[in-house]
Amino acid sequence: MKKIILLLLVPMFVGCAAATQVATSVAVSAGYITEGQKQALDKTAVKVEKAARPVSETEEYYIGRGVAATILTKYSLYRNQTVTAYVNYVGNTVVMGSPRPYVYGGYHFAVLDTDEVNAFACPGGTIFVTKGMLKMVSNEDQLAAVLSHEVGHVAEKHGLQAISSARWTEVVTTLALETAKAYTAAEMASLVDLFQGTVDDVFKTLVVNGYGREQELQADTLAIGCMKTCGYDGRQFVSLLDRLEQTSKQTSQGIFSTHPGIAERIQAAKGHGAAAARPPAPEERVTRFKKTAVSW
Amino acid sequence: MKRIMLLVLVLMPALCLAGEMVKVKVQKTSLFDQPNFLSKTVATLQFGDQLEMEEVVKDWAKVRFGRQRGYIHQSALTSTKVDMKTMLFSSSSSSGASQDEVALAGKGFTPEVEKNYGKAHPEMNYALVDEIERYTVDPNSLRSFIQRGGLKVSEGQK
Repeated sequence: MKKIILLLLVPMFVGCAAATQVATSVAVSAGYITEGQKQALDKTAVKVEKAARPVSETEEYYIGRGVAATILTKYSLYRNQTVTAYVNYVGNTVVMGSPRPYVYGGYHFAVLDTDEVNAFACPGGTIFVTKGMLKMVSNEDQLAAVLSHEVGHVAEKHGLQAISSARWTEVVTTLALETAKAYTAAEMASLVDLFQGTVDDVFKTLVVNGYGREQELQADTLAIGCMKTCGYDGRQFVSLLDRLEQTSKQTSQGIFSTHPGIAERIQAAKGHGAAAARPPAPEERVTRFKKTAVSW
Repeated sequence: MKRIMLLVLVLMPALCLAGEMVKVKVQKTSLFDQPNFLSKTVATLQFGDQLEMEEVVKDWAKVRFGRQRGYIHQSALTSTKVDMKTMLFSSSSSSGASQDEVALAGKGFTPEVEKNYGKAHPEMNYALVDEIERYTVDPNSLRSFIQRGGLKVSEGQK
């Protein structure tokens, strides 16, 4: 009997409710379990299947849009065609060197009109960099360093890790396996509340509290790999961190409040080969940066 | 005998999940003629398009789409196969557990939820988010930007 129960648990714990229902039906027919036990096992399997589901990539996209909309209530968008184009060229280049070059809605890069030094990666691929951060970078390779780091957060889904697990369990176990058209008004209202809470969880981590040390170091490692793949100079990653560290001694706003431990990141970056020598950037790369930088 | 049959029935759904059909899990992407982001686009693929997997070339998959063959980066694909180990041992909401992303679209947080959220929070400027998403980089210009800047992109080796 114990073996039978164990066999029934196999599909249940891989999160396959349908398979469990087939198995329990057979078990009832064979007389191993009662109809009541079958119903209990089927219900448990459905619950396990729901709870096992991570955030889907389409949900990641909508959460990211919510986070982006929230960020845009705090900052204005800098609408300069030359700057937007340049940031998107560099951004899309480094995306191709990342471990996750494709996301549901694609990567998009935008500039925020503030002197605060910062950059934000919304789940799903919308990445903001502030004018203050653009003023901080000295060349295209350093801009690539900033954007690669943010792409690293998206690739590793760090933003989604900010979602309270209790909230996500509630989303999944109560509503999420139903299709939208099946929701009652009350269910939709509840789902909208959960959506707001989810967006707030991510926003607070991105803008107020910052990521954890491990996540920052992980994004740095990915960024250095990404820069190397694309042909950018990893030493510029370290140079930028050096500059940020110097600036952090004068201000604690923006990125300096959410990204402590820059000295440790510099050491780690050097350990990941960011200090390896590379040929100098070609004149074209130097010139296009200088031409664009006058606009920020 | 009954026990053997039961074992087969229990494990069959998991075994049947092994297959070679994959689906596109991003809104829109290219089927390239080479395993390289800058190569020629053979076809434009949409979310949910089904492809037949032929070969894996590093991070790229060589696939057949109707009568066309080409390469697509694996991060744009979803499989209906279940990664049992990940499903069993992952608890994070952000886990990268293998799941059929196409089947999950329309569940949980959907455009309908966003629409209702936007109505409840008119201060959220989704028009601006749409504007950011509408901005796209022309692939030919990007190719030129990369080449002229002395840069390169990763590619699979055939």
